Amino acid sequence: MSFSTNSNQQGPNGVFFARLSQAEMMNVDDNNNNNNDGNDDDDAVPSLSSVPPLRQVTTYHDDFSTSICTGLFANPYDRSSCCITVCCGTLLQDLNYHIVTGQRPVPWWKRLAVGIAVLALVPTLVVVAVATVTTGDPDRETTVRYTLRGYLIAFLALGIYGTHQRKALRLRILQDIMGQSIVMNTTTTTTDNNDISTSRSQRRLDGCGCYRPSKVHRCCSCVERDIVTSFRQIPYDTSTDEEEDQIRCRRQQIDICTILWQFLAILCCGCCGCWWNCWGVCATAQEHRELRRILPPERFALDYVTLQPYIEYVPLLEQVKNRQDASLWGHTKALSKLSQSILWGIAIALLVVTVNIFAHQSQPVARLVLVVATLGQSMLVLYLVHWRYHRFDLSLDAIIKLFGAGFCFATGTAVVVELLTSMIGNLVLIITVVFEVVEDPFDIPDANDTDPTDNLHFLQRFARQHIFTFVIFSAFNAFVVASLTEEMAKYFSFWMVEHPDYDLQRQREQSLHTTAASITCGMVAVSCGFACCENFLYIFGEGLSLSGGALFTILSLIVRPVTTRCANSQLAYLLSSRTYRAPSLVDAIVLSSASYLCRDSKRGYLQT
Amino acid sequence: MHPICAAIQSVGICKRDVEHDGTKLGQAILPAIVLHGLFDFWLMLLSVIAFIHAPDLPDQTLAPVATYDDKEAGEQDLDPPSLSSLAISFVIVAVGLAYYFWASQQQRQRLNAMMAAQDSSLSLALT
Repeated sequence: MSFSTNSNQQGPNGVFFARLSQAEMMNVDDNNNNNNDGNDDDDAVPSLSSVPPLRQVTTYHDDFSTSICTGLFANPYDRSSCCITVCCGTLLQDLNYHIVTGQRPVPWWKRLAVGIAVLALVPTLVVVAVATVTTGDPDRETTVRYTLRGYLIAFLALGIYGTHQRKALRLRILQDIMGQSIVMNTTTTTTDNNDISTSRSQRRLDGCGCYRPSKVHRCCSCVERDIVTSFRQIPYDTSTDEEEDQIRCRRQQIDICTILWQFLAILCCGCCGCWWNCWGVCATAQEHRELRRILPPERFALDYVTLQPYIEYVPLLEQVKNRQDASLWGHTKALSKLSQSILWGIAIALLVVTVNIFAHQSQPVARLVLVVATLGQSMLVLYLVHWRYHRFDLSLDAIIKLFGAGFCFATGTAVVVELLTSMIGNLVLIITVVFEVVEDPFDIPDANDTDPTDNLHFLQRFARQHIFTFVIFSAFNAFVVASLTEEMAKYFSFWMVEHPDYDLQRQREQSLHTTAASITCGMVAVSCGFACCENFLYIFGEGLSLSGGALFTILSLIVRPVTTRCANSQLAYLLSSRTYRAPSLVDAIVLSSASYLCRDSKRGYLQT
Repeated sequence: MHPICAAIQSVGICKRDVEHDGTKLGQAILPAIVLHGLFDFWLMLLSVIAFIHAPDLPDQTLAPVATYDDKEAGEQDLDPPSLSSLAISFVIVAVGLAYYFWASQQQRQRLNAMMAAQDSSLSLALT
């Protein structure tokens, strides 16, 4: 084994170790550097010579100190990583943007205005186009189909625009990491250090062995493994021991989320050696971890969304606590901008709902009472749990933010994850039904049969014959789809909220009972927000499960144009299920999908 | 149900973050998942059983949805499956509340012991 000194600071595979000082310049054995199989730990390697020792060190593409697939939950005590799971990382992206550039991102009201404009514009254009092409009354199904496709195109267009923005920010962060400017249009390559950096930048941008910023921030992309193992001389330093202690500590802290994440990473990397990256979520998390490493923690003492520094409202919270001000007005005056915005949002939403109820629906008073009661039961629980006994253990500001997180983020995350997990259960049930249909084809009703009782009788017979299947299906839905998903969503919605009340330093100064009470109140606040939103969905819609089912149907409409009739039957069933109860959407999907799968069979008993 | 599950979760999270007894996340939220899952499972199972044993399927299962316009408050059907669901829901909620109060009481005692140990070590250091 021979070690050669790399004089131009270039490591293997085009990776540079720009952060190393000249004294720490590594010795690299180009013949012995292989990509590590997912092991990103620093393992000591016995040195061949007495001094200086050589250590195996793991580095990552683009000089990041963590892998793009380190995992959102690699450190169970890192709250900010959880934030990446909501809104496709937009909140964390805004924070990164503000910290790096010092400028404020596009306000949320503008983004909402763009979203509403797209929502309104696409159907209008489609209706006009369909009415122009087809003389007479436009077909409703055609209009719905083209509207959904229009939404898909608009969604992709906005995604591409966001990709460009995130790419620019990543370049800026890379620039900060390297401590030198990145020149994009120079082609000269000499031995001069500046030109080397130019060459490296071009390599990075061209994707020759390195990542391209646009690649990791695409709507959907496969990202190669970014782990590079090298050998270099590390002089003895106490910080090295501290790092090893931290790594050892993290190994001991590995929890179920870390294991799940590692399992997913293995699944993704097993076949093609790539990680599936969606909307640049993992890249944004990686950038945030890097910024946390580079910059002092004071720079991150900001609220999400409003980006208000803690220092502007923490003294007010302290004053309320020190004065033991028990009045609601005193607590309200100390609220941050984000909490005030949440309260205004709730007030405006209530106003809109009230106007809608009185304008379009019958028995408006009774419905309004239902809405207020739904909100009121959450307020009652929060009053009993927080305000009555623990108003000084956790601030009202934190309670409002946690309630908002539960209302917005926990519900949205739960809907998406429940949709994905319920698809697995539905798929298994569909396969079971299909096998049953193949065995006894004459039992299944004709798909053109408009009498829904035939479908129900078939389902009832099937359920009687396969009661164990339905019990397993119910258990899967209850324990995995609903319970596990919702509890995890609530936990992470609590965990992602960074608030000064949960600052570790503050918690050390207060009693253990106060810390425990603040955790309990915070988690109950999140759950109240979640339950409130879920109840609203049940009042105004059909609940979380049907939301997932409806999304499934809409996806079927978009991505399966060949099976238009099947999808249309699903849509028709969806529409009809709003009028009739017991035949759930799952039954509709099962029946129509089974009919489609059997369409091409030789017997031809199904004429879908 | 959600606030009770959250409160039960918080006991586990406090064990992890305040007591520092090495509790993992899965252990912390498992009781809440089991309770919530049981609640949903029984409701789903009862609906499946009711569907299977529905004697007059079209009338019972294809009846138009009882919207707020059609039914006055208090006119809801309280058939045996609904009553069973209601009873089981109350039982599971009561079990969850009892478990939370028991676990919370245990935790309070442990925290008191920890604080007493801290105080005694502090007084020893001062003396």
